[in-house]
Amino acid sequence: MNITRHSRVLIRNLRYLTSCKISRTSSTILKYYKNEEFVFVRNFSSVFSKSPEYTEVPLVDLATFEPICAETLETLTEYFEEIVEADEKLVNADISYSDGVLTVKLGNGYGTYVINRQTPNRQIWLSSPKSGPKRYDLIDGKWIYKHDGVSMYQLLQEELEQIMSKPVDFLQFAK
Amino acid sequence: MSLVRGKLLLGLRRIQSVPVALYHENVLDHYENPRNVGNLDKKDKNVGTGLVGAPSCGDVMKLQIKVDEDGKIIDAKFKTFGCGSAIASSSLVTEWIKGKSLDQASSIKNTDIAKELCLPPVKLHCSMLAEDAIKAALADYKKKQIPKDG
Repeated sequence: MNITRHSRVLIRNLRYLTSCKISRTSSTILKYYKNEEFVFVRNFSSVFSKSPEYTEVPLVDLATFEPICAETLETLTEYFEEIVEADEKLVNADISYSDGVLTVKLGNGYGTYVINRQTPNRQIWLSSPKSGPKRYDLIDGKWIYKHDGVSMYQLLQEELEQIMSKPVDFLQFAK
Repeated sequence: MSLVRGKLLLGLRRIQSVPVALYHENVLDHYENPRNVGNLDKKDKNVGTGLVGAPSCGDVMKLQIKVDEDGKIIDAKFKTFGCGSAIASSSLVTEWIKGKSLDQASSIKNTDIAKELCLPPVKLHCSMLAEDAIKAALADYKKKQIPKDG
């Protein structure tokens, strides 16, 4: 019992140290690029957006982003725990949430979902074993993927209802 | 009891000291010997430049293509600041798009890249960035081909 707690603390410390390292390097990257005189287009990928009305969205301020993002990830963690526990075929599943990263290992060949906070660009990133990676922006209180205009809850609803043996309802969280 | 704990801590420390072992060998290969690093003249009419990512999150990818008269990509260069997977993804796509037509290049999917490099779920975003970089470079090239006088 003691041992597991000890290792958990160690891992947490490790995570913190790694995150410090990352933030330091990113500032050097910034400087380097300034020297090369690159012009940056934030969210460049939105150029390929099919919904042009979403292309010019200003960055949501941190005070708005952080609580909504935290609430979203915590809600998802709880709901994933609930539905996975209720599913008899997902016996090897493992769900963990720590420091803005939610990892849902479904096991049984269903793959792993990773949903994480991406504070610098005010996004939530999702990695799906079915449909690959997506970046969600907070638009009118909803997490929207700018490429196709589909919300995160919609995507999770569509994918998880195929995996789970019982009905799921992710859309209840979409306000 | 304390002996067991000592062993466990040692084990943890060992994992901590060699994080590099977590990358797949295909990623390491491209990371340690990146292909086609460099620049092409971005003012050249036959060069398309794609710049994607955000410096604030630490991932920036620049991909350039040089296209001949037949619409074939004859050269590709990249410069990437980011994690090992991002560097490997861009290195890999420069290899793939060389000698390909514009249509063939645009059909490269992030899933192809992720599969080749055996990227774990959390790193799929890097392969998406590489796909975006190709698309941006192709779009820039196509934009340059439209006559400006109209």
